[in-house]
Amino acid sequence: MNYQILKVANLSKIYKNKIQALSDITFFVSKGEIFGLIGPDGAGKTTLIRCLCGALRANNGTIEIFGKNLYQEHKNIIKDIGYLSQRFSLYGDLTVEENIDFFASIREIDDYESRKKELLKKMSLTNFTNRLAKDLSGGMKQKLALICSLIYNPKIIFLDEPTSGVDPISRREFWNILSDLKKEGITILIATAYLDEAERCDSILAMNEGKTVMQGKLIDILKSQEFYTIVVYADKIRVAKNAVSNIFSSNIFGDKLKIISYNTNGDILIIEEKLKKLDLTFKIEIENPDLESVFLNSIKKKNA
Amino acid sequence: MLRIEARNLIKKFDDFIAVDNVSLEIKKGEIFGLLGANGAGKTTTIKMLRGILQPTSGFATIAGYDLYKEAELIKRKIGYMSQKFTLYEDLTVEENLRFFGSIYGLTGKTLSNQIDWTLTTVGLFNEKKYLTSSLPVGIKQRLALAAAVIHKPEIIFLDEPTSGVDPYSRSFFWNLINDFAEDNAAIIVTTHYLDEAEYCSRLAIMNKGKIICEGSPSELKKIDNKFKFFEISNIDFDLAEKALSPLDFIFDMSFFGSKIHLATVSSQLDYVYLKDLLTRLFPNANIKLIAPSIEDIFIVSLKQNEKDLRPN
Repeated sequence: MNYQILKVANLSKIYKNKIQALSDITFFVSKGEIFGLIGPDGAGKTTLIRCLCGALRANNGTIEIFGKNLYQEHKNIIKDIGYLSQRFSLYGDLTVEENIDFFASIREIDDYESRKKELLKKMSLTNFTNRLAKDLSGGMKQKLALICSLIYNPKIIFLDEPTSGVDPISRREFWNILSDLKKEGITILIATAYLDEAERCDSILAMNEGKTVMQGKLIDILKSQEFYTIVVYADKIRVAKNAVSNIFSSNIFGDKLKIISYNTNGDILIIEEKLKKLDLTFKIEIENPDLESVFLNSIKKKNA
Repeated sequence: MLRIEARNLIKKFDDFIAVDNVSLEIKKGEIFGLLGANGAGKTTTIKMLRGILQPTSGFATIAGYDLYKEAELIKRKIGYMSQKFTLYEDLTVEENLRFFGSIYGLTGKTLSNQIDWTLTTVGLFNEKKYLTSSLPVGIKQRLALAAAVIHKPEIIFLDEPTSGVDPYSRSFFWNLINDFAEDNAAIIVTTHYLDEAEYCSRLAIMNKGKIICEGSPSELKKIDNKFKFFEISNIDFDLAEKALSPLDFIFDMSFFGSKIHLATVSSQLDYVYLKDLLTRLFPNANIKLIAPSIEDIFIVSLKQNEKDLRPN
């Protein structure tokens, strides 16, 4: 069951302008999982995805999909890959249905009527088949583009930042659809700049400036951390921050203060003492590390 | 001290009511977040508060000036930064600031002093001779902020300021924003990225032109009194969906990778009951009570609002 559907080893890409977009990226994706490619703009996510569909040739390293070398058996492999690029490549002057038919014809498949019906239903687009793509809302365009990349029954799909610029409701709907596809057994690799989305994936590869920051199963990453987050709620949050600033580096989040701690019991005693001296009303909680603090912490460690 | 006081703002475009009776009070020192889906009325509200769109009715005082009579004066007191940083790529860092400073009427010594001050504040003094096009996203974002605050505005508007920026730059950015708030400014953030909302000291959620709930993040999380949030893992999604979706006390169900998030109407059940039910149906499932995220709150408030609007 844990078959590695995608294996990438030591992948590097240097563009002609000498920018190193990828350096020595190694990871694998297991069959049937949602794999998150996480990183800020410019981290190399799009370059990596383009390499994975063979649209861009890496300078070094190997890519194996379905156990076959991508460069040697490109034609064979590519028919089972779905790709959703950042700018949905839909035809605005075609209707929803015509777009789907067009993408099916490129892939030279015939018998797809039932699949089309099923996908339209899944994405709640059944009532919009005759609408021009350019007249759809952002969320609907995104779903149509997803249908077009799924119409030929790919085994794995690569989604390049499908939720950027999409509002929270459409975003949640989209993730529910991804869970549905996962149930069908489709492997999903999704690039995103949002760490809260990473928390919805089974495994992740976090990148920054073309390099791996961390990777693995999400559960393992979060479990293996040695620190906790101390959260302080106080009526005067900036006074509280200043009170502890010579001992701890802390960040204000709205009405709370977050402090990364490797020794929670001792640190809480110190914080309490400082805040009591100032007569502040406060409350302290301990949180397990979330992905954002793990990411921040690992970048800080690398810079140090 | 109130920096923004808006009463019963309404904006109609023909028959469409984009903003429907919105009232806001924002104090100096606050970081106020305005959240909503696309088309909720956030942008229209902000345009009115910036003095670039006349309301159909209602009144507002911005930085002490009347929205109708003194719109031009308002513009000098506010700074605006959008997610698409409006910088000139072929100018250097310093030239960009000089340009934006002059737009706000700064000249000579005052302008030079303000440029030095903003460069130091945002930590770009050593980069001032760099061409803007050569800067990474995180640094550009800091420059965009510098350009928005060069005239020491009393109100700073931020439109999805940190979307797509790396976590390190983002945390640096929000520390700066907190400093500006502590210093003198009122900050207003519009976003539909709910992780940006976590940085706000007060939040309002908009739907269909109206503010449907408002409060500090901790206050909003007290929605807890009405709803409880659970996370279930180690469960078959298909079976879970079939078993759970007919239950009326389940208000919202969402799939998070290998976990399910449930929002339940707490008046109708308690933790023990749900746990008992699930353990009988799914002996291996793990279930735990969780604190809702801002996103959970957002989705549930919106869903509740839609339900209230629907005639029975």
